[in-house]
Amino acid sequence: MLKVRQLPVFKVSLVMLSLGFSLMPAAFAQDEGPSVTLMKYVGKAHEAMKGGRNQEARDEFRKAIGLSPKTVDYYIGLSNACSQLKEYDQVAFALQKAIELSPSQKDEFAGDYGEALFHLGRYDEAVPYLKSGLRYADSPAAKARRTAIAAMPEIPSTPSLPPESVLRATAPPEEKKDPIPLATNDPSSPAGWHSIQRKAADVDLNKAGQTMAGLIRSEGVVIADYQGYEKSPNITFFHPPKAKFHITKILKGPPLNKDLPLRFEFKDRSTTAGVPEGWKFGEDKMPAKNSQWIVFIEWCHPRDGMFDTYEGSFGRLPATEENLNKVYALLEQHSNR
Amino acid sequence: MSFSVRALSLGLALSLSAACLSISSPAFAQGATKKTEWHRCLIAIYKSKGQIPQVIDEYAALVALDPKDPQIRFEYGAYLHKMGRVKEAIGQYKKAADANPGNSDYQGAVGDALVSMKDYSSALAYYQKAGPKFAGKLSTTTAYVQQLRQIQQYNADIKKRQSEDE
Repeated sequence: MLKVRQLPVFKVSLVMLSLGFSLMPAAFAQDEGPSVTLMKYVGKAHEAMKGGRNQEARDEFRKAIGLSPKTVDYYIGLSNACSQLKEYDQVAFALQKAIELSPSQKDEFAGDYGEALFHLGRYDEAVPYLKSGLRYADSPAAKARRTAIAAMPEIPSTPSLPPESVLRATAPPEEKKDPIPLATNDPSSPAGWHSIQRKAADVDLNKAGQTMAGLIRSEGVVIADYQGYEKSPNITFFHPPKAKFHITKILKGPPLNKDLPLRFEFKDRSTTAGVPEGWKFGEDKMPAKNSQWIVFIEWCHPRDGMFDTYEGSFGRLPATEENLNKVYALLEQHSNR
Repeated sequence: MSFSVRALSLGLALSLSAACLSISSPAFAQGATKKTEWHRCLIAIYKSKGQIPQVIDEYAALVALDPKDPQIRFEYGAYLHKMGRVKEAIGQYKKAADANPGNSDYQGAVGDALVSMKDYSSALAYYQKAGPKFAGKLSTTTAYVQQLRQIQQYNADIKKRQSEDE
C-alpha cells in the first residue's frame, strides 16, 4: 500500500514512464529492448553535439545507426552533425533514409534535404524539396511542433546509467557463439582468399569479436558476384585495383546501385602485417570470375569512385552456405536486416 | 537491492527516449533562419537558370520574412538594379539605408542608382552620407553637377540676351 506522502512521487514516476513509452523510438518495438551500447552511443552523440564536437557526434550517430538502422531519430542526428560539418552528401544520405523510413514526415525533412541537394549541385531535384520545406514550415502542423519543442522540459544531458555492478548482475548470460572464421593470407589456397576450414581451428577471440563488430558497424552488407577488375600497370599491394562486383542481394544498408565498384584491397587492415614476402600482383591474386562474395561495406558512399570494404581484405568473405548462415544469424541477432 | 532485467530495460528505454527527444530536425531547431536559407538556395538556383520572375518572387518572400533586415533589402535592390528596374531598386536601397544609416554601401548604392536615373543632385546627398568610401564619386558628381549648373546658367544667359536683342 502506498503512503499518502509517496503518492505525488509515484504519480510523477508514472507520468515519466508513460512519456518514455510514448516517445520511445519505434525501432525498440521490434528489438528485444534498447541495448546499453546503443544508449551509450546516443548519449555520447548528444553530448558531442551540445559541445560542438560534430565529428564525434557524427561517428556516434553512425554507430547508433549500425545497431538500430530503422530509427529515424539517429538519421536526423547524423544529418544535423554532418550539416554542421558541411558534409552535404552525408546529410542527403541521412535525410533520404529518414524519409524512406518515415514517409509521413517527408515534408518535415524536405527543406533540409533540398538544401543538401542544392549544395551538391543537384538543383533540379532540390527545387521541389525546398518549396515543400517552405510550405511545411508555415503549416499549422509545423507551428504546433515548434511550440511543443519549445515547451519541452530541459533534459539531463547524459542519461544516467545504473552502476556497473548492477549492469553486470542483471545482464543476461552471454551465449557462446562460433566466431566467423577469418581471412587467410594465401589467395592461392584451394578455398580461395578466405579459407574457412583452414583458419577455423586457430581463430583468435579478439579477431572474432572484430569480425562481428565489423558486421554491426558496416553501413552495408551485400552479396555480390565478382565480375572483373580495371587493369592498370600501377597495381601493387598498397595500390589495389578497382574491382567490379554485381550486387545480387542487399543484406543490410541502403539500396546501392547493383554495379558495385570496390577497392579490392590485398591488405588485411585488422592486422599489422605488411606486404607478404615475394608478393607480386597477378591474376592469381584476384578471385574467380562470377564467384559470390559477402561484402562488408564500411561506409555506403564511395571514395575516389570506389567503395571500401571493412578493414581491407578482412571485409570480404566467400558467400559459402556456412558463411551466409553465420552472417544471417548475426543480422538476426542484431535486428539489422 | 536488486533490479530485474525487465525493469532495467524499461529504465534504459526511458533514458534513451529522453536522449532521443533532444534530436530534432534542424528545421525546427532554427525556424526562420532555415526558411531564409532555403529561400536563398532557391534564389541561387533561379539566378543560375536566369529565371528572373522567380528570383524576384523569392526575394520578395525573403523580405517579407524580415522586413527590417537591411542586408536582404540591399541584395534585393542590387538584383533589381542589375535587371534595369532602377526605380524599384532605389526603393529597396533607401529602406536598407534608412534601417542602417551608418552603412556606407547602402548609402552609396542609393547614390549610384540615382546617378543612373540622372538625378545627380539627389545622389550627392547619399554620397555625402556614404563617407570616405564614396569620396571619389562624391567629388566627380559634385564637379559634374557644377558643370551642369554652369551650362544651365550659360543657356539661361543666352536666352536672356536673345530676348533683350529682340
